[in-house]
Amino acid sequence: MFRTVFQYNLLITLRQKSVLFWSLAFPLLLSTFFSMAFSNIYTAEIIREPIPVAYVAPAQVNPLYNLKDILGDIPLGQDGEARLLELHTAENTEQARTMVLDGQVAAAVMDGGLPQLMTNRVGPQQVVVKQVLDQVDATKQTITGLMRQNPLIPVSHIAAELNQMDYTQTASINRDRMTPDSIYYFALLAMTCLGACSAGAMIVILQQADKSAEGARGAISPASKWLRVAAAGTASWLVQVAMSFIVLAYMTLVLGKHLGDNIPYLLVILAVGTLMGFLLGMAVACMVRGSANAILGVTTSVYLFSSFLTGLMSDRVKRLVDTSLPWLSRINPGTMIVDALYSLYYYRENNYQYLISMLLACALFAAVVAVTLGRRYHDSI
Amino acid sequence: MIQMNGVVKRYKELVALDHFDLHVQAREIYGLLGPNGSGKSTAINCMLALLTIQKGDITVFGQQMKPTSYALKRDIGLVPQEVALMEELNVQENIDYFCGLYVADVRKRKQLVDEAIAFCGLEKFRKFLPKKLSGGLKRRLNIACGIAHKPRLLILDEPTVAVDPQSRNSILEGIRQLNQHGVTVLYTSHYMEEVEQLCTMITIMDKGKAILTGTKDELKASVNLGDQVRIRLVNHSRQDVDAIRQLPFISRVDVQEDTLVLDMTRGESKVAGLINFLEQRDIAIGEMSLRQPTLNDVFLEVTGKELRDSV
Ligand SMILES: Nc1ncnc2c1ncn2[C@@H]1O[C@H](COP(=O)(O)OP(=O)(O)OP(=O)(O)O)[C@@H](O)[C@H]1O
Ligand SMILES: [Mg+2]
Repeated sequence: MFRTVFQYNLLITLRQKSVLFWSLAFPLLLSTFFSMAFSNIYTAEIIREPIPVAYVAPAQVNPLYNLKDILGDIPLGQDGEARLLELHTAENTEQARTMVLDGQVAAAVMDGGLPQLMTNRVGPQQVVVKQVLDQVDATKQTITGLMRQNPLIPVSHIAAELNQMDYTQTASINRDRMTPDSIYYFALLAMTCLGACSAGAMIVILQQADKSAEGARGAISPASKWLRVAAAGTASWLVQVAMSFIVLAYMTLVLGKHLGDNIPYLLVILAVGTLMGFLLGMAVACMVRGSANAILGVTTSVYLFSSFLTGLMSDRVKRLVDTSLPWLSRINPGTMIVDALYSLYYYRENNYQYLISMLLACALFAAVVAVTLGRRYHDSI
Repeated sequence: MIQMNGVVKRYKELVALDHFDLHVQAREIYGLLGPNGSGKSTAINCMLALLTIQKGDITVFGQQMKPTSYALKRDIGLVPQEVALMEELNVQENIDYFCGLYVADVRKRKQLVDEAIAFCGLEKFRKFLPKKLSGGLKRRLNIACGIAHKPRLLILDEPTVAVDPQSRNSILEGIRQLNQHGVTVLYTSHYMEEVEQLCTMITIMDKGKAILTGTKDELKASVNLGDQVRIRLVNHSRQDVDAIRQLPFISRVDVQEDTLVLDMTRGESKVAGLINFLEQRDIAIGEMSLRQPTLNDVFLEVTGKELRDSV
């Protein structure tokens, strides 16, 4: 019986148009789009020349924090005298704009509050400047956060904390073939994994007597609910995993994107991430009382909310959540996958801590499913 | 085979089954009749241990039915009222999938699937996905999925809604044959004729209660209904009508222009007496038709409702 349910659910999942679209067609299309959009940016893999940047000073100069000095001090390459950015002071925004339009500078930075970036095109230089600004901002956030917790914190602690953040990210462009746009591909992979939640919800719906007529049909058969859910779930999950692998293969082999050196580890993250998304969908479907449509609606909302918190749509959100609601980002399944994947990019090392927290989340969702799926009689179907 | 005693089922405040009794003997074709919302489907779902019940007890094959009674479930087949099919599987795969929940042996299943396809006349549609099937074909596939594993007890919840008369007849014939091979059938329907033709025992239910139970003839006998005569008279006066009204075997007279609708009392047909009477009075009969009471009349009598909108 397990085999029949398993085999047919492989077929069913492969024939589900929505699964094919969201788990395969959508990420393939979007990654193709990324690759086209970024194609000419990273052909010049290494920035050899300093990047000319216009700098507009803030209305009020902060004596403790001088962005201009920071920007002007970033080295180009591993060692040597050369600096990454060549700053040209502009009197005001108007002048900076003229400089950008004339092509004297690659971009302009308007200091003050949250620094603004102005460019008139997107190329490797502009991306690097954006990365630098983001990095500086992130560092500032970290320091402010530490100081707020303990105003007397020793500088050595701050330095240690900053070291963990890998402040040298911009320089890393020169270090290996992963480019900042890799982050978009990782984000896409994370979304694909998390997207397995709707397939997971669908499995529960189709096997629960009170959720669908098909479920009622299964419930009066001699095949137990556990067996049906296990067989159908395994089949559907495997299809999702296969699709995320296909997406990865497409990114690396067809689009020629370099996504780190440890592909087996990446595959493990994808498989576990997909499992987590899948079990999340199952758990939601088990807990929500209501029609199939209500369940799918809630699952989609959970998916969207979770990806929103991870900053897949705007990285500012992730930073905001990370700093003001750290517990939320710690328990958000989307953030777990994203962090696991991003860590490949930021740290260039396998950080098993992420994998472990994902497995813990899987266990938690599985436990929720185990407890709530047990109901056999229904008050109403 | 099936025993339901004093079953009470409430959906929140709504009482769907109110001390409902049902006793189905082996090898019967048992008809369960009732207007919309009378609780037929609810009764079936309770019987199959899908629903919690508040009171009463239910046994199937002499054993208490529980959600985990897998041995019992192996011998039961259900054709649910709502079409329940896997959208992504074609006709043959759907039958095989649901049959596969009962029968593990692939080769044996292949044969069972072929038989079910023949039973429902779906040979030409083997490779069709459900969404490509017409409403009636979908219902036929729904039936095929419920019977493929050759259950000993077959429960059909309004299986032939939207099925065309030819296919319906062949399905009814098929059910009769299954029954001859020893399958017990519980059948709910809105089609009175089907139940009259098919069922050996009938329960009429309304508002969650079993109101009348018996064979077709017993049901008709238990309510005071005789034949109904429609008669068109060529020449008659008011006195004639009054005289007819006085006849002992006429219970009701309804005058519709020159046609009289006469309800006769139950028992042996008194039509000859009526004709004699008219001849004596020299009243010419233009046209005459006789209608025996149907289950629908019985139904109307006991529930005060039409079973279906049109008979
Ligand atoms: N899930 C449910 N929740 C609440 N009430 C329900 C539910 N299912 C059925 N009912 C109510 O219970 C009563 C019996 O419904 P049921 O479906 O058993 O009737 P039925 O005899 O099968 O009708 P039909 O001929 O229309 O199929 C109806 O009044 C219906 O409104
Ligand atoms: Mg019904």
